[in-house]
Amino acid sequence: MEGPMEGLIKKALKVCDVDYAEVHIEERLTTRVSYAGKEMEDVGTHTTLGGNVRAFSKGGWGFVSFNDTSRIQECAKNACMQAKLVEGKGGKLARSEPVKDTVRVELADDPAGIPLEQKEKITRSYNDIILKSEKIKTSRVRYQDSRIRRYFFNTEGSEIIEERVYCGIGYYAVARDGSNVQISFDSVGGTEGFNTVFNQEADVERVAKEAVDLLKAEKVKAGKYTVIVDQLLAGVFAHEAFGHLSESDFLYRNERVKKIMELGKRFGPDELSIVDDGTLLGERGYYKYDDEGVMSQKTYLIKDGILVGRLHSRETAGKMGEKPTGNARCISYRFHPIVRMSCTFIEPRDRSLKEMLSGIKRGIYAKGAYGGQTQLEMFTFSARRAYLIEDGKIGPLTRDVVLSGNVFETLRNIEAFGNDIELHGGLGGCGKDGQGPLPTSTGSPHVRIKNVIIGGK
Amino acid sequence: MQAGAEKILDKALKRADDVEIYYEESERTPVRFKTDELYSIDVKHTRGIGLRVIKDGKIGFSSTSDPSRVEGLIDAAVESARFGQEAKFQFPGKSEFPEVDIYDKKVIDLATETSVKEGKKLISMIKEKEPEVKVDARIGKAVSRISIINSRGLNFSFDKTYFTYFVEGFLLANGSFVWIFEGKSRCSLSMETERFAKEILWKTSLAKKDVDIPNKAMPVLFMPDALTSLLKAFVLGVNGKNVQKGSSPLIGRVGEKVLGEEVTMWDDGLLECGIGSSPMDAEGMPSTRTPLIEEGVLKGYIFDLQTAGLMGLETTGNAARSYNSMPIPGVSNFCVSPGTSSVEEMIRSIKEGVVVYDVLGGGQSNLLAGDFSVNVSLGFKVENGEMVGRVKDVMVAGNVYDVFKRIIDVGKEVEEVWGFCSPAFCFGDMKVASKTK
Repeated sequence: MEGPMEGLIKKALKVCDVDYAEVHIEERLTTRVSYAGKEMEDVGTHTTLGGNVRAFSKGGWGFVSFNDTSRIQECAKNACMQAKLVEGKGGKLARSEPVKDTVRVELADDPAGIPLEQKEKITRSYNDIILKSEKIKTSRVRYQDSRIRRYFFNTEGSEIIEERVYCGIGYYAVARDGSNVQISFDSVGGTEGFNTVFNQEADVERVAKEAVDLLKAEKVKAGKYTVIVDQLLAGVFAHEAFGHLSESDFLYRNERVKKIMELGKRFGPDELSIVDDGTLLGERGYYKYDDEGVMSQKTYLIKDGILVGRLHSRETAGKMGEKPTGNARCISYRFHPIVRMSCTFIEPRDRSLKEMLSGIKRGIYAKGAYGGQTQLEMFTFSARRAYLIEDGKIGPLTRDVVLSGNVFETLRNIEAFGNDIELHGGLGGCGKDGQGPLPTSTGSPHVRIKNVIIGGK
Repeated sequence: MQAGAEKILDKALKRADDVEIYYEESERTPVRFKTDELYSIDVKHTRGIGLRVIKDGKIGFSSTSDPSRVEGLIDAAVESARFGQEAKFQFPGKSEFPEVDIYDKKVIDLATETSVKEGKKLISMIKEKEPEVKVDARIGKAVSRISIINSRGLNFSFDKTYFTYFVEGFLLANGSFVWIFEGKSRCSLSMETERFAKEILWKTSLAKKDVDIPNKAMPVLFMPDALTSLLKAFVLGVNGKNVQKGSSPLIGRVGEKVLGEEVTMWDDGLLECGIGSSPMDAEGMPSTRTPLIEEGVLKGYIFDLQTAGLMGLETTGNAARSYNSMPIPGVSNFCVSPGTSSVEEMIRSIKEGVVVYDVLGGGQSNLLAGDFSVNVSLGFKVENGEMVGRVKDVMVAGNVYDVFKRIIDVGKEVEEVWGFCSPAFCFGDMKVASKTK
């Protein structure tokens, strides 16, 4: 059965007179509930309808996005005209078999069917947990779900309708003692339905306690340390410091970077494997088709210490003579799809945390990522919280732990991989070229890294 | 659309005590260059409606980009009000709005072909002298219309133009990567191709030479671009939301000297062609100029209606939002008053120090508390009054409430950078951490 939207899209594609064109339409229903301190800051539902036409001519792009779908034909003509105006120097998109598919999401507890009362109640209950803690100055608890239906049709015959459902909650505690202000936060999120946000009471309590504990923590002493990094921070490291280097839209344009990222080069010990995998159902980074209609897949970036793969859109795969990997993604119909990660993780091996701790005379156990920034090979990350390791035991809480270094050196310096992988989706996601947050997941087991530079006092 | 909005207002008023419609429509046209070549020409049409209601004393809100969903929109806003915050304000009625210069017909008339031509000129000017540099650029124009109608009699719209020119030069120098950014965003047309090319060129030639820098405290000159990552701490500190929530370090300190006497800061919603300027704020209060710090003394905070209402204060006309979010206090143009020295004079008076053009890692420290710890991604060492080469792998750290008390000098040239309007600042005795032992 063809709905009115399909008819509209096909009409628009008919007027496209360029090498390639695609239409993307998105319907979105979002619910947000957010408390900050004692006040309800935001509660309610929002709807969006919008789309774009993207046209490709001799290597150049034209792009028109709109909310008024009745103007779709005019927009299609414009996009084609703009693509021609770019006068690209040639170039082809990598081949991708046209796909006709409809992907429905049917969940027993689809957030779209849950009354607002329940969403408000769970948000408030977590907020109350934070606020009842002494020394907590303020809080923020933010619930969000969205149900998206996206239509992707192109001039090659692809006709994909894919539904996606996201649900998550984030909680944030601020403790203050005079001018000493400390924060802690965490979040959960995924594509499994409303139950994703259940049973976080203990975690919320832990977050509140951490913010308060940090008020008394000593600042870490700067220097070089052996560091054990938890699953969350190691996953963020794999994504931020390494994963972005595997995105080919950056690689193909720079001969010299391409040389650094040459396939077959050794990047770390035999035990090191880093994967991007968009096929993990339930994960926040899951999707069946990317935003160019290419099926998601599992791509090894590093396998047994050797660089073996990278992430592509159809454009970058075409430029580099490789195969698309299903990593062309956009945050909404208002943006071009660009090369992005899905669920990026370091594969687990066989060590327990206890084994990894033993033998460390003086080190740091860093947990969670507060923030992080990378500029190609250089990275800096601040841990949400960190503990000193003394004679193989986890010691006192310490604060303002900033890890920095060169990503290639750091990968080589990983000396132990845990058996305890965890994947994390959360509520935020990845930002790139002004597009964020994009739903992604990261993961890792605990890893032990030697010679990490820690900034501090 | 105006007529449509009035209809929604009437319908919604049957189910709520007070109603406000915020309507936004815009068209952006960026022309983008990637790696020295024209890459794409885009047009982005956006429109949407935000519906805020007050029902039984509580605030409700919903939004849509699909005007055919009027009934659903009203249902959702009314449902939201069941859980909403108690309203501590009334929607403002009709008002006289100040004249402000935010519309430039030259922006509307700018042809896409002209932007393409300017971008190509920029790239060839740079490549001619520095063929190794890869250039990305974005030249964009936009026009928007904001309308607010409410049940207290306000019915006002204004149009605004935007012009954005942003350049990114990228090069590999001595085995490491260097990014050089230039850019501007204003309501009026300012095609500064030559100036941007010149800036990128001299910075490139100096960036090719690496120099060591000792690991110690020294004077650090923050150029306006880099300074914004420190100014963001004050933006958080004076935000009425953080004051109301109890998390700002500036709570209860109005009248107190919190920074050096060289520092005067204010929020200016009426700055000529400023990217944050407008006749009214995002809930229909006249835009104004709000003093924040005068000669180091804290004068006040910025507020929207509800946040001010919660604290028993008056709004400063600083409501900020898009159609799909509720108003929160936000700065319009954050302005810092200039000093009397030129940047050249400031550099000449430094015996040993650093000039910082760009930083990496802003915002990953506890900025609310004023802490910053940033990597100098583009900075040059000064020796005996001259810039001698690029410093890399260098961090500068401190607390803004502390470093803004140790000001050596303030520049006389003010630059507008993404809603910040400030001169260069030279701070004394700033901790510089380098790899040098």
